[in-house]
Amino acid sequence: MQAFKLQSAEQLRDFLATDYKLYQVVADENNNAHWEEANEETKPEVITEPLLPQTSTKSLLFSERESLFNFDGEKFVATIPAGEKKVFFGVRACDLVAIGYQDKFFKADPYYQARRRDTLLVGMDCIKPCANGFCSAVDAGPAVRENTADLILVPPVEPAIISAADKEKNQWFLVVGSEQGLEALNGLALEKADDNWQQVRQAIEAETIAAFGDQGVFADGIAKINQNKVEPEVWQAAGIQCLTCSGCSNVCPTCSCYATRDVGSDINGSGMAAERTASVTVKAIKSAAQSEFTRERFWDSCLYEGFQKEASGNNPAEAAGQRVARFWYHKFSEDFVKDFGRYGCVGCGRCDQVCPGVIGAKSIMTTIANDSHAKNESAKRIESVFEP
Amino acid sequence: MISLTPEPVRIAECYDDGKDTRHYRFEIMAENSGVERIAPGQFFMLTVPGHGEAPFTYVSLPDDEGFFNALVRKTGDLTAALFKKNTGDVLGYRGGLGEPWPLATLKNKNVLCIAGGCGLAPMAALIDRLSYQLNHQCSDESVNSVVLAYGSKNVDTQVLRRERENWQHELPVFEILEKTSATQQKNTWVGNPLTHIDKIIGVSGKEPEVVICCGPEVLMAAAAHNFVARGLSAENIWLSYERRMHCGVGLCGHCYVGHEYVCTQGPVFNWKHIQALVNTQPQLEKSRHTTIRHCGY
Repeated sequence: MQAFKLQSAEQLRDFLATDYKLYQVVADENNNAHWEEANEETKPEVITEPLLPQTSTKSLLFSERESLFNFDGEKFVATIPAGEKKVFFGVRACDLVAIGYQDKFFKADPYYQARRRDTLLVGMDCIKPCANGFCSAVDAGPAVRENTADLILVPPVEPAIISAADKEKNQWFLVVGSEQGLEALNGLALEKADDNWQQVRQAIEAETIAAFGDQGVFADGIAKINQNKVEPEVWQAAGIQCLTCSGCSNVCPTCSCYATRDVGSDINGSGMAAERTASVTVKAIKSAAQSEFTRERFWDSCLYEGFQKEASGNNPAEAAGQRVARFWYHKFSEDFVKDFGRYGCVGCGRCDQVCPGVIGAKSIMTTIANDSHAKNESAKRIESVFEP
Repeated sequence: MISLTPEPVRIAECYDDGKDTRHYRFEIMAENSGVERIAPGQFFMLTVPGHGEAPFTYVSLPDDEGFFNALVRKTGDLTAALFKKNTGDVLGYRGGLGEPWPLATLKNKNVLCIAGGCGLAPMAALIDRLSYQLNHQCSDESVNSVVLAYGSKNVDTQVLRRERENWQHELPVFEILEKTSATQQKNTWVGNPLTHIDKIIGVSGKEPEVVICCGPEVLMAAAAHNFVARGLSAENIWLSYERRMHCGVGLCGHCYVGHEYVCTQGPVFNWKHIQALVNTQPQLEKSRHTTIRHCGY
């Protein structure tokens, strides 16, 4: 691995922006961060604070809604998106691990791969814990993991965090993570980092991990899920708390489930197809006999009651608790590790931030680890309201 | 890369085959579409333009000219739209998908096929193949014997009438109805296939070495428990599962059982395998309260 000294993150960002379409995290006046396409005029300041954007880069690669193919009445023609040379600048360790996870899941998906192919990933080490994250408990951070980024930014550490204000530490580093990353630097004059850069980076990470505090609930919860030792009552109670809003699966950077629907002209369409008909042209409606249409896919959620419901009415996952159990099984079971090399959860903590039912990762794992279903008074109170 | 884009198929013909059920003959319009690789037990995704895509099984596999048969029961929007289509109309097709019945493991074995309702459709191409082997002395790859036990609610819900008539001449076929009716055949029994299993095995004279089963999940589970209790190993009981699917190629996530997908690791599973998958899921009571429904579901 090679590393260079950087004057600032902006130095690299501005250099890359000449050749790549730039995507960067931007914070609004309320300090809510999100990913945005930046241009010459609006190139914002690079955020080094532990401010995780509310959503990951997932939608930039696995589109929230996209067309799969068009049908003209005779032929079906795939609508694979055109690739574009772009850079995701300043992706955090957890989200990079999630991209790696989705790269495996979507390895044969032409729509995902068309977007992913020319994407340069510039990661950034976290030097403080963020509000909800627990990346170190699931081996996804706080420093960017090996083989997950093309380039890695290591921010200068504030003396307040590092007790002895070490000059070596107070410096931007740029670590090269891949051949593509090295190629992308071609033309940028950079000074080689000092020989001890790896020790410095490791020291920063060790101090950051220590700052997370005790995260034992995750190890305990994961063990119980894998030993099948979670009492059904825990899932039953979590099912009552689940509002079926799909917030968790939308913000989860590794969630990938989708549904499809046909949009366009339709003879006697009903439901969603007809709903969409209102926005298509009169010509398309008139040519209904030919049934021109576009098939779209859009994000779905395994928490929805109808996710597995079949046309016959049979629903293998009718109980809400079953669906909540499935979600967390998918995130923490060893059964998926053989295919993905790791757990499905990357510890970003967004589910805790978004869940109105307080059954995000940290909440549910605390419940499971403490086996506190019997004491789950909030769930009991909710349940009692519905008692006949 | 996988393809989520269908290829055109034409409705060649169709006829009614049971209550709300039709037997379709489709023609794949593209040449060289790889149909020779398709095996009994696999399925295909059928697009009804403007109404989406859903999985269906092959009643007969595509022939050299791209013709194949499928059984469709009208149960939702997509099948209702299909029933309004005419001969010659163009639909979309992707197949064959999933894992087929384990043909190689049936060699020299006494095979008992148990079907419930529409569950006869996914084993029709298999029964045809096994029956052909038996009746054409393909001794190097043939099964030893094949018996079919077919249960359904009543005469109206029985499907694949023509196929059953043909099989009656080729192998022992037992038909069982939940309810009696004036129009039922003389040799039809009342109950379900499992209530008559001793009699079926007795009449056929062959203790099954492999069970092939498809029908409602409760029937498949009951059949599996029954034969495990009779001493058959769970690896020799093969079942075909049904799940909601939006892709058929392991991407959309809808058809999970445990950590596997029915569309790619199934739909055919042996009992040992599927039991292990089902056991990863907690068995919970259904919600007493209706959760908020997502629009469209």
